[in-house]
Order: sequence, then C-alpha cells, then structure tokens
Amino acid sequence: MPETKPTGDVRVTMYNVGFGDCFLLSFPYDGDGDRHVLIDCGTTTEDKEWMTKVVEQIEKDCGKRLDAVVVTHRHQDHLKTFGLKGLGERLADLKPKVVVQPWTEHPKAEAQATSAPSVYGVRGLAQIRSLDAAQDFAEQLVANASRLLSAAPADLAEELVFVAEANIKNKAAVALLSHMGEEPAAAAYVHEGSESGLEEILPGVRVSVLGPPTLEDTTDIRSPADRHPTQYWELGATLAGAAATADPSLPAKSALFPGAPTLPAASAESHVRWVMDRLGRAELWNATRIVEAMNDALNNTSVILLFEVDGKALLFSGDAQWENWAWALKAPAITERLKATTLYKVGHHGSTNATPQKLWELFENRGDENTPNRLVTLLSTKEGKHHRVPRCSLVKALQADSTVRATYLWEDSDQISKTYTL
Amino acid sequence: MRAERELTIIAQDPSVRAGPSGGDILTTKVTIPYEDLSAGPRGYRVHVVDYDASQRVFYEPAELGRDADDQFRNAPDQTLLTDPAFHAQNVYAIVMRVLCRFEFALGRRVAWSFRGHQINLVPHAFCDANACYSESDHSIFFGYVPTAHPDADHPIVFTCLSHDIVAHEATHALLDGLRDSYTLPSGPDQAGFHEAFADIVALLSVFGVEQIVGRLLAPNSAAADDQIGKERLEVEALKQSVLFGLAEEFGQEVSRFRRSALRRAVELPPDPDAPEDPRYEECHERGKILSAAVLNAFLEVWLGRMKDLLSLPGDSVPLQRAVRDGVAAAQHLLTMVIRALDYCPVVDLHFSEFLTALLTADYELLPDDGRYKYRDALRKQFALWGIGPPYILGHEDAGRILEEGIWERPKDEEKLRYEGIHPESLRRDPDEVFRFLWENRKTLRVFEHAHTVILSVRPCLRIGPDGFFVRETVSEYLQILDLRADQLRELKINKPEEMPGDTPVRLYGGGVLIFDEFSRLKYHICSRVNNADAQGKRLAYLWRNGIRDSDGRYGRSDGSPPGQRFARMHLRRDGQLPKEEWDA
Repeated sequence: MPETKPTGDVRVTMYNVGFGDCFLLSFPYDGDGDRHVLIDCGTTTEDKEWMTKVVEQIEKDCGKRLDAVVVTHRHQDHLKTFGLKGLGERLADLKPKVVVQPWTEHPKAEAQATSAPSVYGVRGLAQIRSLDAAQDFAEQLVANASRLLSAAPADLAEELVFVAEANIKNKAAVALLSHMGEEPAAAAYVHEGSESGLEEILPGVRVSVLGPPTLEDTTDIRSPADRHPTQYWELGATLAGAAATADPSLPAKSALFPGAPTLPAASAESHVRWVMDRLGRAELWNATRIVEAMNDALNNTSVILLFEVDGKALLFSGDAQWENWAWALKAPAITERLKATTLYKVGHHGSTNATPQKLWELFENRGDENTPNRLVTLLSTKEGKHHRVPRCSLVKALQADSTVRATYLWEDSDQISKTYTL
Repeated sequence: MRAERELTIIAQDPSVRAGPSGGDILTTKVTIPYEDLSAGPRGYRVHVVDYDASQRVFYEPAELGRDADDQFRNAPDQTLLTDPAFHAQNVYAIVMRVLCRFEFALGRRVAWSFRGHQINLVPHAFCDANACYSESDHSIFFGYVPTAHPDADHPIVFTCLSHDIVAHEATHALLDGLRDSYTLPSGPDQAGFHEAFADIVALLSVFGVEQIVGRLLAPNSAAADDQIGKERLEVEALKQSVLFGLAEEFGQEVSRFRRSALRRAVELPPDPDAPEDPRYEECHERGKILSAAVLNAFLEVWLGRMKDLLSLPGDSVPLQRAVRDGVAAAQHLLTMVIRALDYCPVVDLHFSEFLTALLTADYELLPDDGRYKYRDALRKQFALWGIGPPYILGHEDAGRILEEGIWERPKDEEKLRYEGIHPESLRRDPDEVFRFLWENRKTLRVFEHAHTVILSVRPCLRIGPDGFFVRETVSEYLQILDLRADQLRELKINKPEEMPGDTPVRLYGGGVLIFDEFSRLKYHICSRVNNADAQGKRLAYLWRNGIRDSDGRYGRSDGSPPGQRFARMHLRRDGQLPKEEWDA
C-alpha cells in the first residue's frame, strides 16, 4: 500500500434504517481518494424494498468500493441486510478488505467447537455456547409469536416478539460476513485493547478498540450466560416448541415428567382456567425479561471503536451497554482520550444504560449552541418500538448539550441518508 | 374422624441427604389440621393448581386421600423427585404449616390480602429460577430450572421442593394479608422488611425441624443417644455449624442468592452506625440487619436454654437435648416474630418499632421474660446494630415507650371518650371503631384532614406458654393525603430540594388500635401522616432512589407492573434487573 496521509476531514453518512444502525465513515486521503468504512447495516422495522434503496445509496456513496466493514454485534438491527438475499451479495461485491467483528464471533469459538482461541478461555467458550443456545430459544419464541400475541397484555407480547425477532440467528448474514473480506485472512475479531484490523486501511488514523472486554477482563458481561447455562436455553427451547403445538383440547405430554398423567387444559374448571390465564401473563413477563437479558448479553458483545484523526475523535459503540462500557471507563488512559470526543454515536438507539452518565459527563465538548467544536451526536432509532427507546431524559440531555443528528427527527421521512462533514 | 394429618415433606431441599456421606433425601413429617381435601389438593385455605405455562401442560390434580394416610411415607427418592403429586403435597403441607404457625401465634384466622379464601399454589409454574408470590394473581408461582451440574441426581431443580423457598413465599403472602401497606413506598427499613421477615420466618421454620438441626449440629451422628462435645455448643461454633451450615445446604442453582444472603447476614460484623450508613440504604442490605439481629438472638437464647445442661460435669451432653432446645428456641422466637406484627405501625415501619413490637407482644403474654430471657437477647442484639426503642432514634412521635422497650398505654387515656361506643360492636365493626377514632381524634392526635379508613377489626385469643389467656381486639386504620410537592411546607414537611413543586406526592399515615378484653384502648401505635420529620425523610429517600410510579408520582407505588412486585424484588436481590441510567 503506497504511503499516503489522511487530509484530516471525515464525512459521516447516516442511513435511515428505522430501528437499526447503518453508518458510512469516509476518510479522504491526499491524492488517494477516500477510504470507506461501513459500520453496521441492519434494521428490525424496515422492509427489503427500503433496504434495497439503502444499499443502492451506500454503493453510490462509496463508489462501489468499501475498504472495511464493521459489524458491531450479531443483532438483526445491525446486520440483517447482510443476510437478505441479493442485498448481502451486493454488499459483499463492494469487496471490503477487512471485516471487523467482536471476539465472540470468532469461527474457532463457534458453539459446537471443542476449543476456543486461548485468549478467550473456557469461560469465553461457555459464554458463546450459551448465547448460541439462547438464540435457539428466541427462535422458538418467534415461532410461537401468534400464540404470544394473542395473550394479554398485548403491548408486552408485542415487545417480547419484537425483541425475540432481533435476537434470532441470521445464519445467512453470519455466513456471509465470515467470508466477505477480500482475502480469507482479512477478518478481525477484536476485543478491548486488541488491534482493530484497520491499521493498514486507515494509515494516519488512530483506531482503538475499547470493547468488548473478554471474560478474562470482567465477568460483568456474562449475564445471562452465567445465570442461565446452556441447558437452560435448551430446555426453554424444547418447552417453547412443545407449547407452540399444544392443543388445549387434548392432554399434553410433559417433558419434565414423561409418565405423569395430564388433562386437557380446556377441561379445567373455570377458576383453574382463570389461574392458567394469569399464569400465562406471568410467564410472558418472565419470557420478556429473559429475552431482554439475552438481548443485553448480545448487546454487550458490541465492538466499541474510537477513531482519532487531526484533533477529531469519533466514538462508535454499537449497542454496548453499561457492563461493556464499565471496563473501558475504569482505565484512566482511555477516559482521558474520551474527553476529547467530537462525535458520539448514541449507544443502543438511545436506551437507558447504553450511554453511561459517567461517559456522558466525560465529554468536554458538550455545551450550548455557542460551544466551539460542539459535540455532535448521532441517534439512529425509531420511536415506540422497544422499551420506550429513545429515553426522554437522554434525548433532553443530548439536545441541551450537543448537536443532535437523529434519523427519527428528519423532516422528510422518505430521505434515505444524510452526510455530515467534520 | 381425625383431627390431624401427617404428611411427608422434604426437610430442606433434595440436595440435603440423610447420611453423612450421601444417602437418601432427608425428609420429615409435618402435622397439619385434618381437612376434607378435594383433588389438587384443594383445601379450605390452599388450592394446588399444577399447570405449567412454559410447556402448557396441566397435570392431573393430586388426590391426597380422605383417610389422612400419607401416600409418600418412605417413598424412594426417585418418586420424590419425579412424581408431581408429591410436589403438590410438599407445597400444600409446607404452606399449611406456615399458615398454622401464623394462626397459632396471632390467635385468630389470618386472611390473604385478596378477596378469596384459597391461595393458588402452582408447583411447576414455568421454567425460571424464581418463585414468587403474586397478590393480583392470588397465587404463589414456583419455577424450575435445569441443573448445570452434570453429576446431579436429577436434571431439573424444582423450587417447590425447597422448604426454605416455599416457607419464604408463603410468608410474603401472609404478611401481605396482614399488612398490605408494607409494600407501599416508604423508607429503607420498610423496603427491607418484607424480604427480611420472610427470610426470618423461613429460617426459623426450617430450624423448627429436628432432623435439620440434628444434622447441622452433628453431621456424622447416626444414633439418637449420641453425645455432642460442649465445645461445639459455643456461640461461634453454633454459628459455624448451624447458620453457615444451613447456608451451605441451600441448593446451588435456585438458592444460591439466598445462600449468600444468609451467609452475609451472619458474617456481618455488628455496626451501631449501620442505620444511618448509606451502604445499608439498599433494601436487601438493610434487611440483613434485621436477619442478623434475630438470628444471633436465636443462638443466644438457644445457648441460654442449654445453660444448666452445659454446667453439668463432663465434656459432652446428649445430642437430642441440644437439638430439642434449639427447636424450642426457634419455635418460641418464631411465635414472637409473628405476634409482633399486631404491634407494628400500619405504615412507614422502622426496625426500632419492630423491636418494640417484638418486646411488647412477648410482654403481653409473659410479663417476666420467663427463664430464657428472649427479650434480653433481642434488645442486646438489636442494640449492637444501633437499634433501640424508637425514642432513642428520635421517633418519639410514634408512641410512648416504657423503660424496658415496650409500648406504653396511650397518653391522656383518661380523656378518651367511650360514651355512645358499644363495647361488643367495637370487637367486630369497622364503623364502630371509626366512630371511636373520630370522637377521640384530638386526644389521639389523629390528623383529621386526611382521608381515613379502618382497614380491619380482628378479635384475638392468644394463649401464652404458661397457660394465660390474652383477649384483645386489633384494629388498623390508614390515612392518605395527596398533595403537590409545593404544598408540603403547609405541614412543615421539607420537600426534597430539587423536586419540582408540581410533583404529585402521596403521604400515608395510620395506626394500630389494640383494645383489651373490656374494649378499652390499650395501645395506639401510629405513624402520623403529618409527622414532618418522618415524612420528610421518607420523601427524601424516595426522591434519592427514584422510587415513583409510572406516571412520575411519588409515594404511591414503585412502578412495578401488577403482580410483578415480589418477582421484581427477588430479581433485584439476585442482580437480574438491568441497571437504569436514563428515565423514560
């Protein structure tokens, strides 16, 4: 690769993908055109037709050539497009040289593997296995969606199915990402403190990996793997599968006590049917909490990247939540650099604990409209879809102390993208 | 017709074995009142509904039989683990046993908090490592999880087979029936009380089983006439063997958080500054203070009971006697703890008031503190945690207290008006009690500008260990005052500094009126709705901890969805709820 220097400018293109993330970072280089890094391309609310327009726009914006792809973690709202037939291939055709993913996606640490790369250790492998089994459980819940959606309270059931859908495996996307790079060796599976894999792509730009931590660093990111071992998810998936096909007019067979006599649920007297109905609600709360815990665990595998060039510091954190951040925020050398952040991609679409207040308070470029070099915040989200996201108090704080670029606030809802130059 | 039914239960949980190195699951037999059970079992207070929502399976209701025979006497372990009918029996028997303990201690029937007489027990409710009482569902749900231990005897761990968990949840339900206002937002003491009280009752209930105490004291002992070395009956040794021992016995998967809670409650070095220490503001940490004080008092009383035994010559004493003294101490203390509820304020409970209630309840039946000095032990252990009778902590407004830490009779009782009040009616009629309260509002200093309602009128007949009868009527009233934060100053209550003036806040007050057998007021134990100091502290705590309902109002609820309050309390205890940093 010839010696070349970044001009110091950065263009950030934000794509409107509804509830999801998709950003293109373009770094102009002296006499050598632009280098393009695509960070995520997913959605849980928009259809394929809309996403086709997004991909077309990405192709235009990068001149049909990507230098790198970063997929922060394996949730649908961050990678779905890579698994959509036709669109995944079009993104692959942009021939990125490097694909950056979190350590938990390492192919040698697949759920069925018998050994993990040494840096992740046995605990890391258990975490990955558990996450994998948890995704099977989510799949069963989605298969069960029609029954769940008929249950009360309806808004809770809707939220459960929404979160479960975001957590089902996207095998096509995962497969595509694992061989997407220009050469097989160009995949980077990163963790805090590791190289980003972007060093050669972006000379002169300092790219630091601030997360996710490994389980050697912290066990905070372990939930719910620790509390719910693989066996839990496996049994959960079996039971959810059985529940999906249970006919209340027939006695169901119990997976717990195979020989135990059972009765048709519909034959119960009215008071017992009332209890069954109430229990169904309680179970809905449980399932929602469990799926959210699983959602949090996957969010906490998010890659956190800090790009620094010419006095600008751009922070992209995927959906990293408090437990993932906690590790980086403990290190004084890192917190010192975070103070100078000039652009912050708001974590997890504006949820309650993906922008730790400790992090927010670090940013020295916060301030009113007259603040020189005022902090820019990017918020890619859609209201009313999940967990009262974005959080009102967070949005208030963002609007008071930063220049907010938020897809859900764009005047023209048909607008595919906007580009901001820093 | 028999008066009693004897049923086999699992003594603690299936991991506790009868022999020193394994053996069969340790079981015990409990005796509960005989009743004509329907299938379920379904009795006059409890209905076991065996429906599994995770797999949508409805098990055939268990028939325990009319002839009071215990079908599971000497049943093999495999049956205990895999027969849902035994699981139904286990929850039925333990919940009935706890209920009977409450009724014995209080001298009356105890109602559930909901409109209905039979609580639903669901032994295999769902696949989740949680068990919870749900007041709006009139139920206690017991979850199950697969074990993570490949060498376990059975692949599933059932919370319905843990004596401690079943008793804990039954206690939540009973306490909610007696004092449903204890789930209202208050200060840290009340927030910690529900969980700590359920723990204490469950633990004392487990310590009331001879097999468990025997096994903890002498794990290697097999014969009934064995001796135990005196050195193992000293405070520290008992702490290690009995309290830590039980903590170790708690099952790995589902009781691990309870295990660490018990360990910590015993390990905590007493700290007289704890009530004011912010580290003890979180409700579960706070609750450990109460557990630690009561459990240590239990050890002290137990040792006191063995004093004559230990003074005999020789290095050892009969094991059975030591076990029986432990069981007797646990049972007496359990009665005191439950009876104390009648002498606790209706809202905004402080541990100091619970201590006074404990002492008063016992004093009413045993004025001279008996041979074993239960009250001395409690006073001493609470004092180590900086908890004394309320006036020491500045809550003198709550009631008047005699030197030995019991409630005193009402101030100016000679001024109380009984004209036109019918003594007989006062024992059962809420309107009659309200009339008494209203007529005497000035003497009793009841704030008349709040909405006031009589919650209950409960006649009791209690029998002391010495055979004395005590007849009382216990009545509770609640007061509610809804204000905007900027109206607090009219009552001289400090508003939390940063709380906006238009924030809706709710204040609660109320009291317990205890009438003697002649329907004369004996005690008035209250938390005043216009007590500026207590209300200011309560609001400051709620504001500091963001405890408000989903509409942003303070003082009404903690925002938990219906039926989820206790489930969430347990999840918070277990660290399973996500950290929240930004408000919706």
